[in-house]
Amino acid sequence: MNTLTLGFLRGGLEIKQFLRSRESVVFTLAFPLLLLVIFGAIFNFDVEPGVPFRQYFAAGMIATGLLTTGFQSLAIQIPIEREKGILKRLRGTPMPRTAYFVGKVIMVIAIGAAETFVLLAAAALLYDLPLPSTAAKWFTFAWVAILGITACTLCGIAFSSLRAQRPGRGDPGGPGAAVHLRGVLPVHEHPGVDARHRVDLPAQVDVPGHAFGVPARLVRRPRGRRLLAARPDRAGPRRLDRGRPDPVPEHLPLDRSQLRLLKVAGRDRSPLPNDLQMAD
Amino acid sequence: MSHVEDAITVRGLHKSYKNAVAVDGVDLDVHSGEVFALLGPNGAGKTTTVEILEGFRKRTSGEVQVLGVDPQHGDQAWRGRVGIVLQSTGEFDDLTVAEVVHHFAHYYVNADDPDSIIDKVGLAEKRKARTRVLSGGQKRRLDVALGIIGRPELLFLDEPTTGFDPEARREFWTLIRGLAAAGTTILLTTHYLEEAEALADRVGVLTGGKLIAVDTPARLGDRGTAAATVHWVGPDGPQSEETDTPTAVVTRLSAAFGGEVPELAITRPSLEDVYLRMIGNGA
Repeated sequence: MNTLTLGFLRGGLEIKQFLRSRESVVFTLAFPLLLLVIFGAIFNFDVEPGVPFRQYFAAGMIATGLLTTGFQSLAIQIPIEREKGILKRLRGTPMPRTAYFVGKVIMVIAIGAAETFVLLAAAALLYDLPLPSTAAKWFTFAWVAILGITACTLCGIAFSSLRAQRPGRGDPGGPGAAVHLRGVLPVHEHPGVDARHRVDLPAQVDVPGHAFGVPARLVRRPRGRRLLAARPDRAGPRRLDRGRPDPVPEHLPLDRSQLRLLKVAGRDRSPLPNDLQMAD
Repeated sequence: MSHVEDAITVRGLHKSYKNAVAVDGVDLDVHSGEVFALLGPNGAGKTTTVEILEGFRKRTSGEVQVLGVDPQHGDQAWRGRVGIVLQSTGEFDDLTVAEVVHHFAHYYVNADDPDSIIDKVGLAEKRKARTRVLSGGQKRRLDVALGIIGRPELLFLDEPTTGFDPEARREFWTLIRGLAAAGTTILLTTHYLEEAEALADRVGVLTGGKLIAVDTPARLGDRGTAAATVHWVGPDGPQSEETDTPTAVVTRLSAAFGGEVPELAITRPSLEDVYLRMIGNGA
């Protein structure tokens, strides 16, 4: 069977695995949607005359969706697969290495397209945003999206190999950092939002207060400058605030599956031969 | 493709890391169709040796031929003739047993029927189960299924039954014997001496990076000709006598006791005794 066919078979398998994994679906697919719905509900002004914030923000969230799909999911997934010995196992079979990457690209394209569709549909249905009106605009939308996801995918694959070359516990440059950002973001964004703006979600959506897993106390905090950093090192969660003691509990606002991701992505691994070395 | 008498030929294999020598001059021949067990304590160089043979590691020096090919330059066709069961168990999380085995079958030109392989390794009832819910032993069976799906001429098994209960180990042995009977050459590493004895045609003992003995399990370390020990319970309690002529001793005892000898037993050193003596930990 040729490389491309095997790549497509792997792509099918990757998509199946992605859709069955709650972490992947929640973090990659649902997260930009949640942000779109919440921030779209909060901010309703014009960025420029004739350009409502929601329109601007929806485009931004589609870009974020492509980023999480292309960059983040690969930057996390490939090191996890290396860690679990899946790459070594594949190296032991006659599968051409290219097929592995073709499979990843197919998964990214499929999930990215689904993500974009969901975000566009949500923006149009919930906030009445206008879709591109002409074929030319759709064309622009398509090529920008494809270029974006291609760049993100390549960066994701490149980033996933950083860790293998620089082993070290708690290394902030590795794929752990990508997950780390994810842990920080909701906590960072949420407090100020809750205190200063009246949340006016569309009636169609019912987002529970703990959708992000953020403790209520933290959400109500008036100053919005607090960062809780999820670090996979032994010292436990570390705060990145400006040196002030914080009454917030040491617990991370992450559920067990997220913590598992953190642990896996941040763990040391032997540099050889567990990775799918592209060079030799 | 040239015909080779030996599935594996190793001459003067050396592998050193920055500060340590892992493999120090190993010569080894594994004949086509035999089951060869590589024994040795942790850190003896077993896994390094096997991973060099599997093409996962580069050697420092020496000659290695696996199915007539240098594994460092093994291509896809060569990979298709070699089956590998790694020391670590595979994880496929949310995929089912059938999905994984069917998928791996696509990698091989001459793949076996995935469903019959699933039956063969005893996972028929778990066909539709997600791999994450399998028990340790069942995951290992899945590893073996993936190792043999391509009908390999040579199968590497790196500590395949670690953590098995005795019954699962027996079943696993039956599976391996079946593969060997079908002509598959098998290189096995194991910590279990009785496993080597049950499965292997020949065993090699590797310690400190050197292969110190290669023989059949029955003859390893002069085991076949070693003195036997006769045990019995006499009027003064348990007694034993080491002898090269156990039959004569038993005849004498039988006459002395006027028939049956209480709690009579004759033992020869077990493979484990011989092995422990060889690696320098013997009592």
